[in-house]
Amino acid sequence: MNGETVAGQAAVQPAPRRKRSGIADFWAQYRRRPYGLVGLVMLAMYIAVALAAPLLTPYDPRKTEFFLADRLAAPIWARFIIPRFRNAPPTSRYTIHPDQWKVERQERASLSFEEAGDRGETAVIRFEPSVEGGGGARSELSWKVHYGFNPPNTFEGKVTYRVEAPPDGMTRLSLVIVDPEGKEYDIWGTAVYGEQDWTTAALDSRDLQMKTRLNMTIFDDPAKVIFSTKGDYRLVLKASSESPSAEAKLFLAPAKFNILGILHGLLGADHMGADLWAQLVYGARISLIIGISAAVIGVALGTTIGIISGFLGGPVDEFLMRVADVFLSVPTLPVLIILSAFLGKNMWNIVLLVAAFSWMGSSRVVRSQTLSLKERAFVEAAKAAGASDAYIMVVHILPNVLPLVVANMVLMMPVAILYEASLSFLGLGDPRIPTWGRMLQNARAFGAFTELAWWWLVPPGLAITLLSLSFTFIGNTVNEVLNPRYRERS
Amino acid sequence: MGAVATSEQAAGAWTGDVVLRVVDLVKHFPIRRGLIQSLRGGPVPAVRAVDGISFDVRKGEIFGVVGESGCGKTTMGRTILRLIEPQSGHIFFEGRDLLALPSNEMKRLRRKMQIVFQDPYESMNPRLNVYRIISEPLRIQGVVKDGHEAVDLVSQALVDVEMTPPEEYIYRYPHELSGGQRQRIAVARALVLNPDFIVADEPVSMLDVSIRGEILNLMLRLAKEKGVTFVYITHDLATARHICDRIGVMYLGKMVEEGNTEDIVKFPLHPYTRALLNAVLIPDPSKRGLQSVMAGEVPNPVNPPSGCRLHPRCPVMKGICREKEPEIIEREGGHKVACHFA
Repeated sequence: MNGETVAGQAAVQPAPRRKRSGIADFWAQYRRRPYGLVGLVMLAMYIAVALAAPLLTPYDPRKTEFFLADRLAAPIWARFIIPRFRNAPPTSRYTIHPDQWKVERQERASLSFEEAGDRGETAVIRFEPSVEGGGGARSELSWKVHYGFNPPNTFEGKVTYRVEAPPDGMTRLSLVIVDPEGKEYDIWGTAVYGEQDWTTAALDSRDLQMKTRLNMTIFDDPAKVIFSTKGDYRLVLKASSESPSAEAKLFLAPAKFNILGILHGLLGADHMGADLWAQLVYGARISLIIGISAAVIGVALGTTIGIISGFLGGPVDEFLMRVADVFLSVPTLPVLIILSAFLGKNMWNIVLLVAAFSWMGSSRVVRSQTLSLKERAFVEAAKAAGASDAYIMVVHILPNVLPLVVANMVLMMPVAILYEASLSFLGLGDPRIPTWGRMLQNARAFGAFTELAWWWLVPPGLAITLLSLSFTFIGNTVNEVLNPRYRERS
Repeated sequence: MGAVATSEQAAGAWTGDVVLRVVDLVKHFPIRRGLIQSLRGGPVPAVRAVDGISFDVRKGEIFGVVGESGCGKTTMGRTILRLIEPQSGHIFFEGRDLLALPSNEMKRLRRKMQIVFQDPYESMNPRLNVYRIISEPLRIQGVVKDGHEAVDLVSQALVDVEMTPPEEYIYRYPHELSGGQRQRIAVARALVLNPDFIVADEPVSMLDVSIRGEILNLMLRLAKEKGVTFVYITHDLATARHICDRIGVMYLGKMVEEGNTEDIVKFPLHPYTRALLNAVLIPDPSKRGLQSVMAGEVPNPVNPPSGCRLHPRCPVMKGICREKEPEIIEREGGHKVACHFA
């Protein structure tokens, strides 16, 4: 303690000793708590998933990517654990390029290929002019596909064509599926009088048009009937023309044929055939953004109000705390429902609303801490130096309530996430963004419960639960480390 | 309480070397009543922490305020610096009435008056380092801007409190310092603005006996070398006798005796002062006696006893003490006492 001797040593001691950083100290204590680490690992996984969402799934649920599979398609891996999915079909998509057509039969017709501008290569069938009494010209093209699964529920296709013919010409076009046993199913047909520019005909096994063409009732399912056996199927395009005055030409662009799977992707598909895994992965982003921002805004608001209320006291305190009481006693969810209906379905509206109803708890906690802090001598010392109230609140009170605030904030996040999920579940969420609440809402509204589509129901529910759990673990651990007084509580 | 003095009257007999004059200072803390009680009406009960106190402090002296716990001495110290607003009375600092000053002038005047608190573990924000703690008054007062301009001033203050070399301590945090070092930091903080006047509120009562002497000697040295005026608040008459030039003895919000340390210690006039002196441990055990140590507890300051406030505990109590409150009267040599039988 003596001046001279210590001054002598100072030459030997090079740098002034610095305090061990608060974060290192905090981490040293945090890492000893298993629940905290579990929560942190879980949260890290969520964040990784949220960040890597575009890498984890080829689909973007913010775009309308429907009919990737059949409605309520189960996950691919369901075939290994559920007998009825053992041989269920995944989605098969085929694009039939013009040169893949095999010529089955040609009468007074010829096939050639031609570049047709932006449509790429097209197949061109030329029909000779029909002669009196001799009938028209015809052509049959076929394309073979192997099908080795149980019957699918749905198939669909697209045929894109153009007709160049004199006005008195009539061109017919039809599509027939020939099953391995040779049975023919005439699934689509059209007749063109004269000329027709590029047209895309969409065919779908669920359409009534196809069912009537096949002489089925609306309750029958063409896909099940047609693809009932395994083996090589042929898709036959039959074209014919009767064009007395001049030659007719039929142009064919690449056609599409899809058998929508009963199994799809990692988590199956929803009622629109959209990918559920993509929704789950992108939902992590939204949930984290909403949870974190609502909690940060709410707790920041609560901290400000708490400090002002506690420090200024008197009528200000009385007023702010009565406001907090009002907010506390109002049932939050009904008010959120009404307000979000008024303000419109927007993610940030929900964030602000949730924040507006989640500041009271932290303001009470901060206020009580402030009440004790403002009696501490260092506050009086600052006053004695002439400090203003604002200075004391910012420099002396705020840093000392921060540990409390941090724990509060982490514990607020699951609440915000659950509120958002509740609102979305009730259909009050933003319909443009994929959230877990909206997944559950869709699952409820579009038959996942009645058809027991567990792959649609369980993952979002589990994701919300586990994320909330990880935040709770982290929050409680932070609380234990930073606020030893609350140790007994958790 | 005496006659209510106006500003001019109270400031009247102003002699040149008086730095601080306190006149009829009153601070009552009202007690919160329940709804029913407050509906019943009647006067609001209050803790009469400071109940009409007057004294002068001269330039460069150490004025001790001595009393038992709960006698209002700490409240008085804070009221002098307007950390607590008093009910009534006047506080003249260098001739100006602090209670009449607007807040911006009061803020400027705070450069000249500082306080050292009792508990060195409480009086520092644990999240600030020594540099920030000591330079805080400079920043608040706008002497320096934020940043590291104040390093020289802070280092000088550390040297003044014998914490050398300053760079050894300047970036430490309070929890890395011992109690004595913390209290030196508290003194350095009070000194950094070069004040004329410091209220030291029991600066050594939380410290080990071995360190007390160092802090007290530090105060003595500052008073001598820098001409800093101290009001030294303590419950320990022994330390007060060691460093103070003059001593005021407080009991239940009243000043009962005031005078030069010599007079107070050698010729105590008030029975309470005598009791306090008897309570001081005497190094020689053979000379110790237990006679006339005051009986009982300090009465509740909400309902102080009638007449002389000491009478329930006083060894020389007579009938008059119960009815009439004694005025504080000056005896020879500025020695004042408030007792019917002194």
